Amino acid sequence: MKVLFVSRLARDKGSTSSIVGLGKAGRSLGHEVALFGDPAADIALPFSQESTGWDLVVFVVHGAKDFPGLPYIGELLDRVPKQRRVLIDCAARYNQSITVEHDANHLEALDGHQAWEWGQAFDAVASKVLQPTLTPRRPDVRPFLFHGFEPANVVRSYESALEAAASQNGSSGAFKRYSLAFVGNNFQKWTQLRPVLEALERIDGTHPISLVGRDWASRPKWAVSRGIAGIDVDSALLQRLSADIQRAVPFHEVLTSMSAGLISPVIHRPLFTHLGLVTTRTFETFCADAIPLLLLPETFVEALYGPAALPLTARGDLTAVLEEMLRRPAHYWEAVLATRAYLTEHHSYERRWRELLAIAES
Amino acid sequence: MRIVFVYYLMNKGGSAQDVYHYTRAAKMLGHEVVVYGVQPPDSPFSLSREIDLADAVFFIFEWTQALRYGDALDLSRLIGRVPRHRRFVIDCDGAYNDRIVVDGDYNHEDDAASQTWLRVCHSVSDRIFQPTMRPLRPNVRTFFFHGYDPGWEQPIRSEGKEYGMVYVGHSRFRWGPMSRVLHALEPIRKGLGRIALVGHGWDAVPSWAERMGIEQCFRTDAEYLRQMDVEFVGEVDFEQAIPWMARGVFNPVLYRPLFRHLGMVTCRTFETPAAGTIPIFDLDEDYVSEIYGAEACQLVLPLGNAGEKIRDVVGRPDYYADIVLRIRQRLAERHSFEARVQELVSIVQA
Repeated sequence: MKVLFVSRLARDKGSTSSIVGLGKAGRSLGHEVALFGDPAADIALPFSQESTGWDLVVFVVHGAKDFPGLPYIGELLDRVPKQRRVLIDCAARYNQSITVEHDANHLEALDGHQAWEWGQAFDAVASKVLQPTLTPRRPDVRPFLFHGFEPANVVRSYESALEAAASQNGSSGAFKRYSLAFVGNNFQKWTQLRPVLEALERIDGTHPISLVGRDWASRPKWAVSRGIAGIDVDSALLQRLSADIQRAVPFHEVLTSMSAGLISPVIHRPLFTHLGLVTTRTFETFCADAIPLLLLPETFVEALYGPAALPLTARGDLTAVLEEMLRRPAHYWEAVLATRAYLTEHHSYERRWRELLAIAES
Repeated sequence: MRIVFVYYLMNKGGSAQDVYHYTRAAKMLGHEVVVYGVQPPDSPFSLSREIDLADAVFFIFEWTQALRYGDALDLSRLIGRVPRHRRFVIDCDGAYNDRIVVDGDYNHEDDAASQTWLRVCHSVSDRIFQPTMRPLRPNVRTFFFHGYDPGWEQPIRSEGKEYGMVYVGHSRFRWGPMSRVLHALEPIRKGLGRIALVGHGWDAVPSWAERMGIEQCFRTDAEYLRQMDVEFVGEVDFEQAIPWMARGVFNPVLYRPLFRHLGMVTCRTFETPAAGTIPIFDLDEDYVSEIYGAEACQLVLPLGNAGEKIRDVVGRPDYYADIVLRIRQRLAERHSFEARVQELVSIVQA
């Protein structure tokens, strides 16, 4: 089968990593896969701007910029039959307006579009709309998690939790630069991350933390000028934690940045948590050489990662959980290794690929 | 019929006046013309993002194929929801051609830009129109797009005018023809009165032109303009174009060399005869005869002795005003916006 993925392929946000993972899986299963656009040296997949000859065109959409402009959108929509076009709606645009805390699926102040426009556009572009959630709200949306786990990307494999713990922490965490490393942009993440940082502050002898991504140094001007809440920071708290704030890194450097910490949180935007949406980081974090701290609902964790992942959730006293993770990591690494095995079995990109084709052909 | 224009609408340039009158004329005829976009408060235009009720969408391309109001999501809706047979392109600036260079003017900087422009047009529609009687490409059909509104007409008088000559238009690629008109004026300059050039780029290259790498398009001769005691007025809103023209005894009708080469019509083709002024055509006689009628050739600047022609127009304004009245009658009969709307409807129904 010849499959074309169409998306913006932003390097420091979006789902480029997942598209690449899925595309490579498709190729390994004998399919012809290409990404729409000009060839890029940092992505080891073929690129194409051809609009004909595809059995399936997959639009992967976070925002309006994921659609190509003219002439490409015209050529794709006029030349590829609609039944061969599907759309993965990564940010729940194909819903009525939903607001959770300061988060929303339609931020007209940011992109100028209302819910009905997204709905009309998606209906026009694709015969099927897929969302990366197990529980889509709309009956006409197909659940397709899209993002996946790639065992080959695991930064460091361990035979046992004890081996992992020893390599991470020794007796005092001496081998890691940061107690916690979070990689992601500060868009609707602060409310979840703040309690973690406050808990860390209460633990004596922790290493600095690192925050890698956009808008961690201060509340961005664009958010202030447009009155968009949910992109906040507490500079004093970050200073007390000796936070190392780094600019966003491209997708192929994410795991290295995560692995600089003993712990790497998995945080979903409030909207995503509400809708059960998964992201690239949902699975990718388990490839890092760090303990994922799952700041997600337990029922969701169990359904997605399997029961072995439950110890990695922030249950009960967050300070106590973090202290245990830092001081006695073996218990948590046991959960990490078991979850990696679960993810390999249930959430590999090869499995995703088969799911995608099954949906497309249904 | 509901027709949507996808157009890079600006109040101070392009075809804003035409678009406004399409909306007005369509309403009179029981149709509707809207511009794709969000309705700004206090805008004289009618804008809408509703496309499902559209019988046709016309992509009107002038200097850009970009959307003024919208992004790729809007394009997805426009392309995905409006069937190809109900999409049309009106290519106003002759860009739907191979690269053409005429007297320093050009439609594309290079062949690649031309190919990209063509490809974008093809991605939108099979039916391409240009405002010229003689499209170069065989698949292009004529649609003048620009039109005439008798409501613009003002009494033509020559006495008590603030200016001898007014020209309303930007300087882009127009220095050659403007220079020709000014040189023709030299012998009668002292008695002519004030001269005003209304638009951007006459006194200095616009600040944004350098950023866009197109500063050479705005080349003028500042020293010569100073010697000719020319006054510069910045760009004005489209509603002020005709009132400004009326402040001069006469207005030259001059085109970019490319437009003249391609036989294009522009907004000014129709606006200038309606203003309370006498148009003087720096255009080919055949063209003038076709658009304005044979009698209008008396208002064409001859290749030699152009100064004498201007002297005669200024000296016998009533004689030439009578010609202008007959030009107006012809334009009202053949080129009104009501006629244009009917043409659009016919195009859609064909």
